[in-house]
Amino acid sequence: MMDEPTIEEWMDRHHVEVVRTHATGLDGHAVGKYLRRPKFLKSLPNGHAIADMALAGDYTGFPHMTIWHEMRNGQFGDILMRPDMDTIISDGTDPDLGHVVCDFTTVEGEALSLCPRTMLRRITDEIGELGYDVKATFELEFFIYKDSFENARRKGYQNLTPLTASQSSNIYMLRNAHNVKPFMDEVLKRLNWQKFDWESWSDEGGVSQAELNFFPANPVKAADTIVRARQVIYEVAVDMDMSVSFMPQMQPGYGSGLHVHHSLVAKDGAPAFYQDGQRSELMNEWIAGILKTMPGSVSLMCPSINAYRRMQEFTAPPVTATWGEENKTAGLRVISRSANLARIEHRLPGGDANPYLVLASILAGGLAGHRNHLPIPPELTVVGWGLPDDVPRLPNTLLSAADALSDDELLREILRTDFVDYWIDSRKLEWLNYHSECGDTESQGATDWEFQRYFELM
Amino acid sequence: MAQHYEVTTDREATPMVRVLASTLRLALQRPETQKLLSGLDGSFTVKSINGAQAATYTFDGNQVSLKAGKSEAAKVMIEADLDDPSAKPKITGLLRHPIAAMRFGELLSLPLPNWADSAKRFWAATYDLPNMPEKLIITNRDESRSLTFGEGINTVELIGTTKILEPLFAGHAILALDVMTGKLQYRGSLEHLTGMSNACQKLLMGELDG
Repeated sequence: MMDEPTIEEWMDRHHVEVVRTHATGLDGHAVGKYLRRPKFLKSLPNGHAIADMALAGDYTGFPHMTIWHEMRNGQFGDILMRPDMDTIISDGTDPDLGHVVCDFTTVEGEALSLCPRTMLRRITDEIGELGYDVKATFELEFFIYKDSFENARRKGYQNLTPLTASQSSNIYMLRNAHNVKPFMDEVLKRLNWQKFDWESWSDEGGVSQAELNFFPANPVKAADTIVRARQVIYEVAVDMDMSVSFMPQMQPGYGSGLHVHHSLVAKDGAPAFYQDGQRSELMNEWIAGILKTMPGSVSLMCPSINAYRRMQEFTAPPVTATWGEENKTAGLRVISRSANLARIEHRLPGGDANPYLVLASILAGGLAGHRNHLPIPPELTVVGWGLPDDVPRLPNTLLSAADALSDDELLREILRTDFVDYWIDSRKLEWLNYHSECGDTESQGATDWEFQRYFELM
Repeated sequence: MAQHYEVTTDREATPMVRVLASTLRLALQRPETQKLLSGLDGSFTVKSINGAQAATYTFDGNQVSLKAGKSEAAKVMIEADLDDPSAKPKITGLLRHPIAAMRFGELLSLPLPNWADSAKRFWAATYDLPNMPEKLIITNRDESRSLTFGEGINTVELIGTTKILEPLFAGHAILALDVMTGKLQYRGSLEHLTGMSNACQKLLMGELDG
């Protein structure tokens, strides 16, 4: 996004006097600082310091006190947020403000294996070395309410006022969309100013739910877009005295997902998932690898207690490690009717998922399938919900998903064992937090603990 | 003649269920606990008076199964302040099953093993885990005595009372939380605090042999 020869010239041209740095913690939460121009320039190229708990902490910013990683520097030391200068943009709304996406590094500037963005770039580069580029995009779902965040807090996040015309679940309703449009117009205005490549938006299945789509991009840019768009959507809600949430399952019925599409192309731009009028062998191996690692990847796609409330049959998320052509009930919806359309849609990730980790785990699965020439399993040609008990289901709890990841040697190899072990311990900690502070095992819906912890912060 | 009781929990048992189960398993080494159990059959629930945490014991011969949550079939339900054992509990089913309710009540207030014995077991099970100190010194202020485990330069010192040390080394608490809430004093590195806290977490989750 930076087209001037130097950062100073870019800042002059865009009148940027303050830069907000933005990095993504393990739980997918946004962290960063507002830096005045001299401080920002002085911090380059390695970036500014921030406490290591920015990365090694939970949704609420509380440090992980039961997990150690060698990146931790001394007794609550610092790490750095290194700006990726290709991502610097001016705000558009705030005339002095610019934004930049960052990677976490050690204080010496070394890459950190726990940094989600760094990991996704590394895996994308590994695929690049095989001669392929990845194109990816997410579908961002969220709920919007007329209540301000302050009012929502006062009401315990219950009985919030929908924005839509309909008070029951339906989808693509233009009357609902019209009611949401003033909010979305403001979101899109800011996204346009910041040169986000948004594609479309629509009314979604839940009451007062919307979905925003973006054009495909390289994986890191696609994930950057999601974390930035979440922040923009949150800020518009604050500025308009409204509230939004990306919680995967706030109420019965449809929840919020983060479906992700991706495909591979050769370096000359030719689709790599299609050959001789059908799926390429690469695509078959890619699908096989993603399916093989799907149970292990659930933990990364569904990181919170609340995410597992969404994993109900017949409510959109898949519950089996299966694939099917144009089958939205299978674990993977495969589209391969033409070269240009050939892609894989993964429909499991929850609205709370960290998009860097989602894509990293999907690409790791595909890469493992290709490297090991895994055979593609038979296609699911029936509805993937309501199947007999002899069809294995994906892990549907935080603990069983963590166990599945722990046992997955293919993901361990590509995501790296130190990351996997840290992640598993962090999920166990989230589980312990829930049961120590709430402990409700009988509630069929989201508990007060979940609303308090997740509604505003994820 | 001593009976062999088997105490089982679900694979995903909640921390409350794990703590109750491990306490019962240890207590069953004493004849008086076995005697308590010999008169119990059917389901009994204990519930937090302050929140949603609950667990149900089901006694069937020499099998004791513990599950999270309340049971409609429970003969007796005791609602208690889990953080304050001295607070008076609310008991449902007392009139219909007075003796069973009394025995179940006693079961819920089983004494924890001696802190020093538990600390010894804790160290034996955890000393070689990642990020553990080489040497651990524990001082119990109530008893004005210290125990030392291991040897080396990387040392951690813990100072606390019996009331805090007993549940910690029995696997009912997480070290870092006790330190952060001021219940326990700690001298050592962050690495060892996280390492020992992770060991506590593993003990609570039943992932250690000790």
